[in-house]
Amino acid sequence: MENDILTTLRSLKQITPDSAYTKHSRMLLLASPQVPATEQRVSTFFRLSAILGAGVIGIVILLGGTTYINETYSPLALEGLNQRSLTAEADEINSSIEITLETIDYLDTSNQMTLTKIAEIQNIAPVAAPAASLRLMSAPAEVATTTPETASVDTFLIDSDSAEVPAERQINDILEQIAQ
Amino acid sequence: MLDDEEKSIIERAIRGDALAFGLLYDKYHEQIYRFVYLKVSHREEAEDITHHVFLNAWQNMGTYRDKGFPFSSLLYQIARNKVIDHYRTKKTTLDIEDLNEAEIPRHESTVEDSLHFQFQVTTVKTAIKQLKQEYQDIIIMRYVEELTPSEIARILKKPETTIRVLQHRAIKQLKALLNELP
Repeated sequence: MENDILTTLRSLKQITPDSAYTKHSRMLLLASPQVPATEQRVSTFFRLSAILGAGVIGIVILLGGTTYINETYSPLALEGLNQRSLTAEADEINSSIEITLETIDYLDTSNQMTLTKIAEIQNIAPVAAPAASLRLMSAPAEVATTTPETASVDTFLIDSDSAEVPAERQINDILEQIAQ
Repeated sequence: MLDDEEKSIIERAIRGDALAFGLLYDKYHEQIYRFVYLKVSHREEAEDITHHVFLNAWQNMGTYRDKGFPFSSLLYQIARNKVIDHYRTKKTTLDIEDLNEAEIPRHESTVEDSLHFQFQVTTVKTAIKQLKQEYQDIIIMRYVEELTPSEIARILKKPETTIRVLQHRAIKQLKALLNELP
């Protein structure tokens, strides 16, 4: 069987082209000019350059399109998942925390100053304002129980009938200055 | 034609000597035509493709560099590409069964021999056409043109051992196809 196939295949070698066609084809072929090598190289160079250029442009368009789609339509572009918006939000929270801390620090300092002034006043006029002194003595405890924000300077003001007394007036002036 | 003689002819053809290329045409024209004809199964199309194979080779001779491969390997490569292009561009193909008698070459002297040959050609061509391209190439080169496996390896740019394996598979498949045919 295999020999039969091989014999048949070998017999196909008898296939030959038509002689008239062969003569005509040969004549046409040899009459056609050969393309100069330099011209072919230049042509090849330009063809390769064009293919390469088209490829690069294609890649750029593809990457640009992908990036645009990714940024515009991707689920990752949602505000809650966007890295940039999360960072901006975190920065905002940080700055607001800093502002609050600064406020607390300022209020604490002012409280300290107030207490220092009150202590000074107590030392300066213990006789001239006995009633005020008594009230002031109890004030720190009151201050301690209240928050810096809620402690009003009115608590410390001396309401005396004799507001003409220089010592009391001096204390009130100082307290108002602090409050301001 | 000796190898050295062929080399000098190729060098002349590279320099643009049309007569030298004519000699190469005379040497390889028939085998390239057969290769194409067995793949397209149509005389006129085979003639047209073969003409273009040689035209392409002639026009590009200026850039040809001898890399130790036979000149026929260049022609076979061009022919393979042309056949692929032919099938790519051709939407409708004529069925091999519909080929009229005039398209099958007549080579036998008696009517009986001619009919027998035509029957054999038609049967084998039908079977060959059902093989994949690579097997078709190997069957034609190895068993019709009687090229050696090393020559086929150089033409198809594959290792010789691979060619031997493919050759075995191709002939086995061809046998199976011929058994299936009525």
